Parts: sequence; C-alpha cells; structure tokens
Amino acid sequence: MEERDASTTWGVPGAGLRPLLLDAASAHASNVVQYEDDGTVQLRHEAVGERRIPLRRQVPCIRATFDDLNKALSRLANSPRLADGRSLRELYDEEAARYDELCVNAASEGRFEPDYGTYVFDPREEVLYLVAPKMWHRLALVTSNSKLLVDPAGALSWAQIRERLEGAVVGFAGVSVGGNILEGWLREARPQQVKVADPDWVELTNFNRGERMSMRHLAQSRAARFDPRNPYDVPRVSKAAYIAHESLLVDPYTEFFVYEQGITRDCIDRFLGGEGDEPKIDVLVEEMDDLDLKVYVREQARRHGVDVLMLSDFGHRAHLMWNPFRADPQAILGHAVGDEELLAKLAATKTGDRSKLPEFIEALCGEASFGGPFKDWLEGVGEQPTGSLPQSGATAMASGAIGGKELALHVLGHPPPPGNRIIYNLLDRSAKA
Amino acid sequence: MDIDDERFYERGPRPSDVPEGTPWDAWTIALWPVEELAGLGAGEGDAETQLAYLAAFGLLAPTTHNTVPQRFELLPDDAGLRVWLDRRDVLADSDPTGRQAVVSVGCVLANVELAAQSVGLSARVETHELAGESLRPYDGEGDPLVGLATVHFSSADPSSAPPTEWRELMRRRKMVRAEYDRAPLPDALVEELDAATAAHEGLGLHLITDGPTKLFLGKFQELADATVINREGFARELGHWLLANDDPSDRGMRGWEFGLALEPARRFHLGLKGELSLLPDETAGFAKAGNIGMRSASAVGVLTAAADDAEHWLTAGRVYQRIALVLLREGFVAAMHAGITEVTAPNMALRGRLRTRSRPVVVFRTGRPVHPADGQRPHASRPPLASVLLG
Repeated sequence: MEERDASTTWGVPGAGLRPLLLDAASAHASNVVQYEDDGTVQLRHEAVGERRIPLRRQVPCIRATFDDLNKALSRLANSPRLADGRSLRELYDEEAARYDELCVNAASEGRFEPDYGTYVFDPREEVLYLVAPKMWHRLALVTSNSKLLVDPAGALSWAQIRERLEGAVVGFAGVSVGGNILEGWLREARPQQVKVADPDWVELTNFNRGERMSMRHLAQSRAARFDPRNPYDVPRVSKAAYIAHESLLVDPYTEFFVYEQGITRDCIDRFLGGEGDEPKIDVLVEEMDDLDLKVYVREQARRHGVDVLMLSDFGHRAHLMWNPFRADPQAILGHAVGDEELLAKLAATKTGDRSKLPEFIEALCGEASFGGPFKDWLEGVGEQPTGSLPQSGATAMASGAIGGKELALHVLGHPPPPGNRIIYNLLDRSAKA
Repeated sequence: MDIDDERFYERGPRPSDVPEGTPWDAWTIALWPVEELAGLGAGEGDAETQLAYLAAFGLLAPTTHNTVPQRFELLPDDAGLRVWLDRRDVLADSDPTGRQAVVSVGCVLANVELAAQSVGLSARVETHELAGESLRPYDGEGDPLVGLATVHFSSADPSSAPPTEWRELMRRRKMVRAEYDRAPLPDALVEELDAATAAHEGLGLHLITDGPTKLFLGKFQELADATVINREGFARELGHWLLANDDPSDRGMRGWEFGLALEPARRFHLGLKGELSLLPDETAGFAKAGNIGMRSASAVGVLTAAADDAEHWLTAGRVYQRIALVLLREGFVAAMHAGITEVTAPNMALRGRLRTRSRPVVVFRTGRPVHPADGQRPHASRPPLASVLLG
C-alpha cells in the first residue's frame, strides 16, 4: 500500500518522493548514518527503515560546492558586505578553511566524512547525497545571478535583496506551465519556502512543457502495482510531488508545501493565508485548467489581499496578467469586464457550446488574447491533432522565464505593467502592454 | 392484455423536472394506498392490475443508455412478476456481453421489490438459470427474450415495522450527471450502504472518498469516454441514444440530462452518428466532464463481483438501485459510469487501484449538485408501460 501511494505521501520525509534531510554530525553520532569499512553506508531511520547504500549511490557534494564557490566569489573590494561588516568572500574563506581542517581530521581518524553538512536521502532513487550547509549550498545557487536584480530605487544592498527574495512566499496553483514559472522563480530568487498545488498526475503529453519531466515521472515502478503482471495497473506520479522532488534535488533546503489534491474549497484558506507553521503567501501564481477554480481562487485571493499572477500560453503568445488585489481590494476578477459578466460567461461555458470558451477567456484575460494558429484552432480551422488546448513547449518555457522575472521584480517593489497585462508574441517577436 | 393503466398516473401540475408529454408520464405515477395492493399475495383484488402497477415502478429504474431493455410478464395466478431481457435492446458495441443490460434489469428488480415492500408486501426474487451466451445482443438467431428473474409477492407479517416509502424516492430518482459539491457522506449512511451490499454474497462495495483515488477514477473515466467516442462503432451507438433535447423519443438520453443546450446537444447527436464533424475539443470536453464529475463526488462507489456472471450482474444492479434510493433519501444524487466498467484498460486499472481481483461491475458517483439548478435537469423519458408488458 505504501508503495502504491508513493507519490501521495509528501507528509513523510524519506517516503515517496520527499527527500529525507539529516544533519551529518547528528547522523554520525546517533549511527543513523554509519560507514562500513568498504564505504557502504548503513542508513537506519524510522522513515526509511534500514538501507545499505553502496558507493555508487553515494554522492558527496561538499567539496565540489566549495570549489565552485571559490571560483565564483569575487575577491575584489566590491564583494557584498554582510551584516557583521565582513565581505562574502572573507566569510567564504573562513568556512572553507574550517571545512578543510575537518576533512583532514576525519581522514586522520579513518572516517569517510567529517561531521559537516547535511545528508539528503532521495527515496525515489535511493541515492544518498551529502551537501554543504544551507548557507553555502544556497549561495552557490544564486552566485551567478550576481546583482542583476535591484529594487526600483537601487537602494538595497545585495544582502538586503537576497533577504527579500528569500523571504517571499509564492504559491503555485497548477504546475504544468506553472512549473515553468516556478523554475523561473527558483532560479531567480531561490526562496526559502514555496507552495505548489496540482491535483493531476504527470502525463507524457505534458513533457513538451513540463520542467524537468522525464521518464522517471511517467509512472511509478512495477513494485507499486497490485498485480505486477497487470499491464493496465499503472500507478502514476503526482505533478505537485514530482516538481517538488525535482526542485529539492537542486536545493534540498527549500521548504515545499505540497498540495497533491490541488486547490480545493477545503484548503484554499490555508494555501493563501497559512496555518500553524505554514506561512501565508505573498503572491499566487494561478495556472489551473479548471475554469470554476480560476474564478474561485481569484475571489478568495481578493478576500485575502493576495496578488495573482497568471501567464497564459495562448499558442505563440505568452500572456501576462496581474490581479493586484493587495493594492486594490475592489479590483475585478477578470480583465475589463465586471464580475457579474465574468460569472455569466463562466456559466455559459457549461452548456457544451464551444464558442463560449473563448468568450470566457477574453473576459478573464482581456481582448485580443488570441491570434494566429491558436485562433485557427479555436475556430476549428485546419487540422487538429489534439482535443485539449494546444500548448507550445517553447511558449510555456518563455512564460516560465517571464513569470519568474516578473515575480522577482514584484517582490522587489517594481510596479506591475501598465494595465496589469502584457502580451509577448513570440511569433511576431513583439511585446504589447 | 387489457389493463387500465391510466389510473396509475396522476394528472395535474408536474414537478419542474418532469416535462410535459407522454414520454415523461411514467414519472407521475400515483402512490396507491396500501389497501389497493394488500390482497395481492392472498388472491384478493385485481392481481393483474396490481402486478402491472408494481411493474410501472420497474419502468422507472435506470437502464444503460436508457435503452429500457426490460419486459414484464404478469403472473396473476402465482402473484408473481417475471422480468425479461429483450436482447434487441442490448447495446451491440458498448455492451457485447450484455453485462450492463443485466445490471439494468437488476435495477428494475430492485424497484419492483422495494415498491412492493412500500405497500407492505413481501417480495422474493427468484433468479433463473442463466447462460452467458444467451444474454448477448440479439443477432437474429434464437429467442430475443430471456427470462432473468421472477418476483414472488406475498403478504407481509402484519406485526412487522411500517414499511419505508421507497416509491416516492423512485419517482424522484434520476441520473444527475453534474458537478457535485464534495460534501462528505455521513458515517451512518456509509454503514447503511455497506450493509446493503454485504447482504449479498459475492459482491463488494468500495466507497472511495480520498482525492487521489477520485482523481484516478476521473482520469480513467475520461479515458473510457474518450475511447468510446473515438471508436466509430461506439460513437455511432452513443449518437443513436444521445438525443437532441427536442427529440420526441420515449427512450434514450437527451443532451439536457448532461447539461447540454439545444444546439450542442443536436451537434453531439449528429456528430457522434457521423452526420456532422465534431471538433476534437468538443469530444474531449464531453469526456472531461465525466472526469470533473468523478473528482467532485462526495464518494465514488464501485461494486465488484466475485464472479463475472449474469447472476452477479443482476445482483449488482439490485444493490446499486437500492443504494441510489438510500442516497437520495439522505439528499445525495448519483450517476452511473458504465464506460469504466466496460472498457478493458480502465477496468483492469481500477482493479489494481482497488487492490482487488474481483471485477468492477458497477461504478457510480454520488454527491449533491454544486449548482442547484443542475439538480433540476429533466428526467429521462420512458415508454408507455403497455409497450413493455408481455402477453
């Protein structure tokens, strides 16, 4: 049963797809991680049971992390200053020296690893990574971004900008195109916490636009079948869990709040407003297929005063739209039509009349959202290989980049674009606000 | 047969979900007082009329594609009602074994049993010996009619508890193929449904309420519907039974039962029959609706059978219909999803998901319409009672 539900057990670190993080010093001291003479690791933990992890499934990453930082961090006088007055480079030099010393000591005692860093056990692949402490691992992930992103006044220091970006909590409802935007946001901001919600599972037809999707996520292993010989019994992988899993293999220190059942009326308040240790979100990225939910979450986001960003990939167009509910609690749900009209158009989509769908989309996203081959598809012109809305892989990718940048700008205080909307036309190679 | 069934039906204003016209007369059936039927088992009164009245409730039962394959033989001398399957109404493409037709007749039996119980009669169902081959769609060879079961009526013990009024529930029951509100089922109701199933050996009820499994079922319902629609034979057959809203037929399913407006319903009817071209997104949207419906359910029920034979199909139908009426009593509507049981891939996948080797025979979802207006969609039509009485 556990294996069948492997993609639906995000609450348990070390089960399903959620990695298990273990402080190296504690793991050594408590024999949770114990090296045999040949280097094989004995991992004993209540979440994963007892596992023997051979050398080929161990990936020590710390030395590589320090080497890479050494190459990247500036030695010059303009190295960013931290709160205690030291430069980032000075701090790095001290930490690297400390690590070297620990390594020497460990080697002299015949140990494989010093008490340093964090073990990350990936239960899906059964690989044990050893990564640098949080600050250094995460620093390496943003070093190349340098100080390209600044606040509108250009007044914030590198450290202050990092603090803002790291502290922002963005919730992603729908992680197909939304997964691309998540990736853009993670690369740009490397936040400490993020929320993802999607009730669907990964499908091969998503791969043209699914960030980091691969065969690993198309189906669960044969072990998850009730009858291993039943070819129709194909347990699938949750989209929300897969994207969190993949992202955590980049930065295992990110705290993911994973909603595998997607956004529902039962969980929307927690998703938006937080609960207990779960923070409220600052921005909602809405990328769901369900038309009712698209409207519903906007109603709820408005009630919570949470801004909503949506990137719609209409054919070759990446269509960016903000609902600025934080600044304007009375803002309409759609674009340029009142809420009543929007709801009427939503109701009309349920009658089976396909002409009502574009009318609703235009009410939600604004006029002139469509064009070119996408409009042809809507009008039933020419060949149509797919029954679902056509989606270009590259447009989805571009939407991710645009969305990630937009979120970072928003968090740093840049105002939304005029009219809260921009259409990037990748076919015409133009952009229109 | 000379039965005055006019007096079975009420005249006057109809409920808002019962359209005017003879195809919907069946839903206006009157609730005769107990005294009218009390003598059935004792040879008192006009047994033929009494039996026909009970058969009229059998006519209200749901049947696959609303094909109404049941036929009734009145046995006044034995105080019995024999229920037959007319194989000319078994769907050749989507029901090649006759499984869904037999499940339908099981629903008919349940209505007859429960209607009898409502008026204080005791009803005993005698299932006939059934050979699988004889239930297949009629191909011109042999007898198109197959007797499946006989219901024997007798007077109930007068000291027993007052009967439940099932007939009123039968009049109100209909398939509501809409998005539901995900409201949880009360525990006591779940226990009652489990008990209703457990009373029949060889049947299992899986009530699925968790999101991931409902998602799974939704996706596979969509797969099943997409499979049906994309196979020419299936699509033509569905088009034959999925009718325009203004179609005068007394069988089949009108588009409005699926929430389709006049023109989309006409397009689907003609498009599925191959008389006009539907666009891929139209058929995909149709399949998607089933997916959304599953995911929105308070629970999805799966009746599994230990043996894939007619006796179990019949019993599954009887149990399903009782469950549907119990749910309605508690304010929950239901919709059946035959595709997931009849298309091989989703059926096999469902077994894996349910961790069972038994065959899913009936899949249904239950809940309350998230949009109350959806609960007011019209009932399906029914043919006149006389047309389904044999002899």
